Amino acid sequence: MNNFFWLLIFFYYYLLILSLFMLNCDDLSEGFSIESFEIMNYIHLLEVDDTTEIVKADYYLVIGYRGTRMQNIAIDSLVCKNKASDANLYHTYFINIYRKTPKTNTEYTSEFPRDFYRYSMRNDHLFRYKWTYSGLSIKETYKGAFAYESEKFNCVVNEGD
Amino acid sequence: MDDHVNEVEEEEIENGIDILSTTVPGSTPSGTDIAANTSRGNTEDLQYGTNGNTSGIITGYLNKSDDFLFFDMDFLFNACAIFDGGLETVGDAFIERFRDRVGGDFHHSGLSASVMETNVMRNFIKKFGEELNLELENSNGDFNGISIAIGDTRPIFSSIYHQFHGLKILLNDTEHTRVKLLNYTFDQSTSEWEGDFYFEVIDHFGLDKADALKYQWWHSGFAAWWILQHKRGYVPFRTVIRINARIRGKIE
Repeated sequence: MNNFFWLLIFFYYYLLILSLFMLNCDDLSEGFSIESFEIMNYIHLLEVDDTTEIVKADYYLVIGYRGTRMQNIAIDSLVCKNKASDANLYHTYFINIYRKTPKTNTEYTSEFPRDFYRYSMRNDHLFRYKWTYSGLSIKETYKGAFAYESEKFNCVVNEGD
Repeated sequence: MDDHVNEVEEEEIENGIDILSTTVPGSTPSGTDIAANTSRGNTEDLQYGTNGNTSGIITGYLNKSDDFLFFDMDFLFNACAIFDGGLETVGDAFIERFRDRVGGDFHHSGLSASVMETNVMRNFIKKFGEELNLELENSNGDFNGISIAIGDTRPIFSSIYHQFHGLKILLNDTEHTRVKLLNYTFDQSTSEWEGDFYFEVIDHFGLDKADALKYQWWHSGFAAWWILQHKRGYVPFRTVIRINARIRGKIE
């Protein structure tokens, strides 16, 4: 009897731990992943009033994005982890996050590069992170072609290194 | 086609930046460069000649006369500006310049005026204003030394609405945009700023092979345009759009 009682307690405890684990990892375990969208990365010269500055941008694709808090935290975390170590040398450094779709992926964009501007930017742009020469550090959330929300963003871990 | 009559343009964003007025200047005003986006980097659409590779282009069009091809190109432009008579006229002017083999830069005030009215352009201006506002918050309202990399954000007229209102065929995704600061005021007591800015949007009025192959089955005028440019030597050109905008924001 005593053994059965403890077995029952252990079983319920196991169920509780399992539920909590699944709650925390819900959307991160169901096909959610982030990959480099390297073909879109660029280094661009910005000419402003007779001076030439360097602008760098990196791109990533998110698979299985549903906009949950856990997924957004995972994206923020990836951005901070992958932020260029020499970001402070650029006039502006961007990290762009796009949703991976049939028209926004490495193969399709390689074949139809113009559709990136005509389709992907309007439909699949999720976030843009920006660090500027003036010390700004911004996260923009996109809806359509333009950001509808901008907020200050700090990579505490990365920038504390 | 009836469905497209009711097609509406994208909504104007609300981001705390007010556009107080917009005008089309006759020439490029003098001012200080303050922002630019990333050039798209496409150069093929400005190439022209007589030895273009015709593989994939509608074969029945390759031996048609120039007049036939221009007629079809004209038909395409009229179909794409069916809901905007003003831009139909701009389209005619563009085709005429292309046919006259002038090349160079071309500013048409009617096109700039049409672009100025779109929410695409107004949103681009407001987006720039928002980025400027963030920089001004950082500098306590001091405009001196501010320069903004807009990144790959650009005015793009690729929506269904613009497909039948003329700007998709005339511009579509634009090549490069730069912004000049003309003058500004900053009120310390209210933290409000106001400024006049010049926006110059550059696009290429030309057709490359990828677009010809993609769109010629939607309208044969694209095949006609490509043949005229790449097999008959008619000359593409750069389109220049000029807009002055007075905008206002407030730093926190």
